[in-house]
Amino acid sequence: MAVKTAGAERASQREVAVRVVDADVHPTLSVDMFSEYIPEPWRSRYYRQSLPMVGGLYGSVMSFHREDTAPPGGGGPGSDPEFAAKQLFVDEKDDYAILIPMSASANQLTNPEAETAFLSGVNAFQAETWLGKHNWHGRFKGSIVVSPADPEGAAREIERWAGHPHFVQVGMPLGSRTPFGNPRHDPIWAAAARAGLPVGFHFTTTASMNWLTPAGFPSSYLEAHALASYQAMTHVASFVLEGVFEKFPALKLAWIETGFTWLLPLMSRLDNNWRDLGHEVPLVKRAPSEYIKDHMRFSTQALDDVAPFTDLVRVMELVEGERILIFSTDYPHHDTDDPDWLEARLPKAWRHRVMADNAIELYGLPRMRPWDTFDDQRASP
Amino acid sequence: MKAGGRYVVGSVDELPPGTMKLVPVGKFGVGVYNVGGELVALTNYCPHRGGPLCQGQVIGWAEQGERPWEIRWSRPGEILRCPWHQWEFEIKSGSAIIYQESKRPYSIRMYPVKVEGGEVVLEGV
Amino acid sequence: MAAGIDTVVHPLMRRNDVLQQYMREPLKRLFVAGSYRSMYPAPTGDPPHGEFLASANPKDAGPLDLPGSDPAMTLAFLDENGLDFAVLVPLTRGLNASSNHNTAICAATNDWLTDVWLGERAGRRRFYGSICVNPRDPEAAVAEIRRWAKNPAMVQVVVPMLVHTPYGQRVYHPIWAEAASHGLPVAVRNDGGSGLEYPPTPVGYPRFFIEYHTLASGNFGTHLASLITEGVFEKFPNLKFVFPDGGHDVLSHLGWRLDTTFPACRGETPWVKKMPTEYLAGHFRFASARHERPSFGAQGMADWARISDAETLVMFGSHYPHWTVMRPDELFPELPEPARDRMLAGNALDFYRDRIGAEAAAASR
Repeated sequence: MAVKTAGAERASQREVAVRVVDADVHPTLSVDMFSEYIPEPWRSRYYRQSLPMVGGLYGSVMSFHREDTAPPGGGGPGSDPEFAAKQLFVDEKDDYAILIPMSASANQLTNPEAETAFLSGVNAFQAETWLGKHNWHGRFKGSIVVSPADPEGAAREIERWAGHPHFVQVGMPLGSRTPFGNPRHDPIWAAAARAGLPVGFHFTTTASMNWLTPAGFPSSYLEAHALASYQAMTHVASFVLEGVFEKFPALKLAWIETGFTWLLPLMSRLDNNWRDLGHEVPLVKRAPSEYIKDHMRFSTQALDDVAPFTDLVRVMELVEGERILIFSTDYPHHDTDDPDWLEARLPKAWRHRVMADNAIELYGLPRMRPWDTFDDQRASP
Repeated sequence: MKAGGRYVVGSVDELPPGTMKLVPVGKFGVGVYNVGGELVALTNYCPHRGGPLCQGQVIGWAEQGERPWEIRWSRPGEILRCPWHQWEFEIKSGSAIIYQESKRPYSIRMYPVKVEGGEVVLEGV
Repeated sequence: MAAGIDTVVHPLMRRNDVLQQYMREPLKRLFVAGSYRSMYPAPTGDPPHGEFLASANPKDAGPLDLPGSDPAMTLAFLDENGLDFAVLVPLTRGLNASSNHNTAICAATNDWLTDVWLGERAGRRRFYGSICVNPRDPEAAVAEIRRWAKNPAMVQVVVPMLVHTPYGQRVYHPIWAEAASHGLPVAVRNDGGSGLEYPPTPVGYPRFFIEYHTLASGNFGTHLASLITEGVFEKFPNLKFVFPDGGHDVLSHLGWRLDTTFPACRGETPWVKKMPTEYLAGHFRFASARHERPSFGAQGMADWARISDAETLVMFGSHYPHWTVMRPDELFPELPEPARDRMLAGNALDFYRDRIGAEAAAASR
């Protein structure tokens, strides 16, 4: 193919500085796509063709996906890696896209072994397609999806893919029956830390107990979605106060689409409570806010609607946003943030860190990448 | 077909009620809508965060119904919903309806549009 | 001299079995854990269970006597800290399994509070009270509000934070209608009990008190989101809520999240006529809390106070005799006096306007 050859020629000649890393892109996978990758006996037992929809309990009258992301060849937004690549790397300006296959995430409501088998099929499919034959450009990076309900199985799955050139993180859902700092999850963090992979947590519209708040189930999507960040808050507090970063100093975490402005109150509360009650958790040796800034990163999308916007910038400053924020679009979902729009509003000195550098460090990406055919298309549209 | 500060969108017959035509005017384009016979021209740029407004669906307006659990659907074809963050705009006025008194009284940039000799013409371009 | 109003003081019974003296046969025979029941024991080392200040124990306290049970000592705390009035928020320790038992406990608590705490001291009222009601039984709750609504010492209704259904849902509307009809605000307090409740976080049970305590007061979010989304304030325009355990620091984030998502969801809840944050100043207040204090330096504090509209939304609350007790000089000391005065007295005078009597208003002049 002429296009590929041109890309290969250019690659050897020229490099591009990485300016935009998109920390949240969703390939839309359905079971019929990856069921052949699910190991037996689970595949034949449960997953031969399709799965009854477990999630999607809270719907909304909104359209979930951006209207302009439906591939012309059919299949629904996010289903076509070639079309997604064009939209992300030509129409947008992403240099790298971190894939988080949300439609196939852990629900943890049923058989943990079967769930691990299911997710291992997702990972094998990713490796073969989005990170394999459709990744000739090398710009897609993926997440090894695992289930918090099966820590040993998760650790095995992480070890299986560690060292793969295009898996850059472990992917986990936000919902759980137990806060993630609880020692029962330690095998997952140990495996991730050993493999040098950060763990990325993403908000999911899953089922039943994942929506329960301490005061019952909300009755609208608006409430449920707004309250989802409490799940992240609880986990962050748990990681810190259970001393997980003392146990696994190399561990890094990414919080995707959870919001981040809650860090301001949470860091204060944690530091204040630790000052008074730290003796209850002797594993915690430093101020909690330090662990958060050293070990955690937070994606920008969807940026809170704050009026005036300068108030949001001030909050970002107070939580050291320059260090901890990583840019994301949430492609192909509807509530995206345009990179130009966002970048223009960040303090100038921060832009390169938030749009690229923080993610480059977190995910071990190169600072320069080969020029490819997408750059050709951007240069002469 | 440009003529000074005017832009000919096309013939009136091309734009029956309930349809929209997107024309390459300005930096983002302009969508010309026919809402129940009335022609309205909106810039294809959402004042909220710059989304491609005219790719959005044209819908109705949800209101409280008679009984507490009921929702009434009124004004079909009069509301444009931005495809990104789903802000709802009244096409004829270009304004984000219920946010009038809020700190965010968003309005879409509009163009005057008229019919001359069977043609739909944008002005002020 | 401006009045200082302490909007959160927790009165305890002299002994747990005092409650039964205000109950009737046969429900008085049912066991009530009282103030001993809490989800997580506090590791403060203060006897008997860590949660309340040892210094608040009554003089010559026996082993069954509880801290914070002597009105004279509580008054002394107010006097030491320049506080003229206190709003008492009793604790009923979560939902008991039997709803009717809960209802009886609430009624007995209200009777005890009136009997022991709400009389005049040295010729004037220093303490105001909260009407405990059982939200699991709206009909009973309405009756209990009606029983106390005319008592000038009662300034609000109080319900527990951890219930089975968020407070905006229609099943509760008869309670809010009754409260609103009497001009009574509603307080939603963290009861800390291990009653018939869901886990205290959305992702299960933390292992440590510090983990639980860091987050607990934030749970108001479920109710706030529900009340706004269900259009409760369009239906009852004069209804107001206060969260005595705090949470104002988390509010900003939640409000922004609601505002960001609302436009996409408006069609599902068209009775919400404004952006969600536009309901905040008119309908919600938060008591101050020591552990929410941001540590970002003076300028950071001032900016945060402005961004989060602390001056409007926060009312001082000491939480005496809880171990988290806070004194007035700990309340946003970086802010200028007028803002602090609003939080120390002005906001509470407005919030409880029809209830806190002429004495309080006079003291503020």
